[in-house]
Amino acid sequence: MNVFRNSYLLLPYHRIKIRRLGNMNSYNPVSIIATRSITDDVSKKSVFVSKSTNIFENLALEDWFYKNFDFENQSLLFMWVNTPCVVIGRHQNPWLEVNLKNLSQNNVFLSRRNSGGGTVYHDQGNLNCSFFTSRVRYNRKSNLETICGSIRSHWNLNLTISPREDILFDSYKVSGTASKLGHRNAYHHCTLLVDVDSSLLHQMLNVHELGIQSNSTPSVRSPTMNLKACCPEISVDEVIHILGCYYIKNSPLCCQGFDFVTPSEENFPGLDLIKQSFSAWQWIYGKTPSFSVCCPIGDQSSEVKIQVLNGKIERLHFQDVTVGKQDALKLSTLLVNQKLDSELHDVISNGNVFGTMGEDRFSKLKEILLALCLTSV
Amino acid sequence: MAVCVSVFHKCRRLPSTLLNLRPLVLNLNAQSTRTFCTTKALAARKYTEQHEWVDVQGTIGTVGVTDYAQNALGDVVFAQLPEPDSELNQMDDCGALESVKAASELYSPVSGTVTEKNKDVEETPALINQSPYEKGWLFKIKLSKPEELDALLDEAGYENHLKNTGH
Repeated sequence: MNVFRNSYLLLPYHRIKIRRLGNMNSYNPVSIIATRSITDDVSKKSVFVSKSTNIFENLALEDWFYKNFDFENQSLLFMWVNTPCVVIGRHQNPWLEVNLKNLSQNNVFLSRRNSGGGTVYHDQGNLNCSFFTSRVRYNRKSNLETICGSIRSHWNLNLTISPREDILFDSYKVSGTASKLGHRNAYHHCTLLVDVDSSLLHQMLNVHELGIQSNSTPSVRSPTMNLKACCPEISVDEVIHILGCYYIKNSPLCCQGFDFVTPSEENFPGLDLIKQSFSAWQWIYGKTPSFSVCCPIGDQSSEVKIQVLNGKIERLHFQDVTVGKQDALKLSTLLVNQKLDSELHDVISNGNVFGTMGEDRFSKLKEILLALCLTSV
Repeated sequence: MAVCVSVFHKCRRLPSTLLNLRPLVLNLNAQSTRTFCTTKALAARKYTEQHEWVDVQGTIGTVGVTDYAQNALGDVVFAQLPEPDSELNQMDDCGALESVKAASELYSPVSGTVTEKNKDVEETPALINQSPYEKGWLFKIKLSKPEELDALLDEAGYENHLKNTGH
């Protein structure tokens, strides 16, 4: 396995033992075993920086580390930066959290991560830091302190950690945090807003109310600010350098250099498959916890409830009998079992089903359905 | 259940609810020996080191997470449970519990086929915090390898495990 650009720097102490964890059935661990193994010193710390700015490649690489590395005696800080994208938490509803229309108009990717927590907007002014440890040594607070300490050490900015474990400057949030805890491994990742385009951030997260009912994890909206606003000379590249050195120097071993890694199948066998699943509609939209939407019909005394499971319309529930059997049947035939995607969008906007039913009465339903179908990957 | 403990200092002690439950379970065991009831009928709850429990009645096991686990997780805001009919191997990753910002993987303590998931918990995940051993059960599973139970921890073993790992 050739994951290291400057691999010779690490060879003397840094033999990574790859153990098969998780359920990566599709790939053969034998091919990558025994390239390196880590010695038994828990203070071993490595820093990897991704050379990719693609959210799906970076999420896939993060997941690859989580599933394939043995962090029992080793910790890793993985830093990565993405081109504009919105990232929702594992159990969130994109229709509730994201302005899907603005998203597609601005060519911003939507992705779903594996960890919990709320929705964030990334661009190249945002640094993502993933701290990997064994589950036993997982310590979110200490990771956040590392970030605050490194920033303080170089730029003299007084960052604090809130009870929700966000990093604050003057009560404005500059970092959001989420974690994934497994049997042996765990990671805590967080964003760091260095110089993010805040107008795009607000456009992406400014949602039109569609009347969705769901028990998905809600985002906690907080006022944010960029570190650049209080420290004009700061940049993402510099933070990578300062934080990486600070993280390694806190270990008894001196800085061994960073590894700039390319998330490719060649370097990380099995990565393509993980990337594919992160980019799939079935993951991004299909993994949304079941939800329902109530649409008024006609003079609003009547309504229809659309129930959605796995991103598909599971059933329509007509609240009373003012919708005739024929119309109800037409709607059910058109909609039930259909994915809320561009295909259904075309069928609704180009087909004549709504025309034959008296468009006015069902105009709100049509509008809501078209809004729900603005899902693209 | 993958709970992480290093940040949850308040949970170093065994939660009092678990302690309160102990005499009841011990008593059940004692009774079963004395009256020659089959141990299956009154089988005590079994535990994993990852803080799941399984309570087997006949061939069906009810699975949940321990009081210690719910306490360490904090308020659960979302429960992702295995679907009925899914086939699980012991220690398969079969769902997740999300508490404030952390998604913790859920593992099946035994192999078998899921027969039911607790829809009330999906609706109201706080049940896991309020009643981890009763209303907060997660799923039921038809055991395919009942012998796996022998290797799981009993009440005392689990308690020892908590003690030995510094909780």
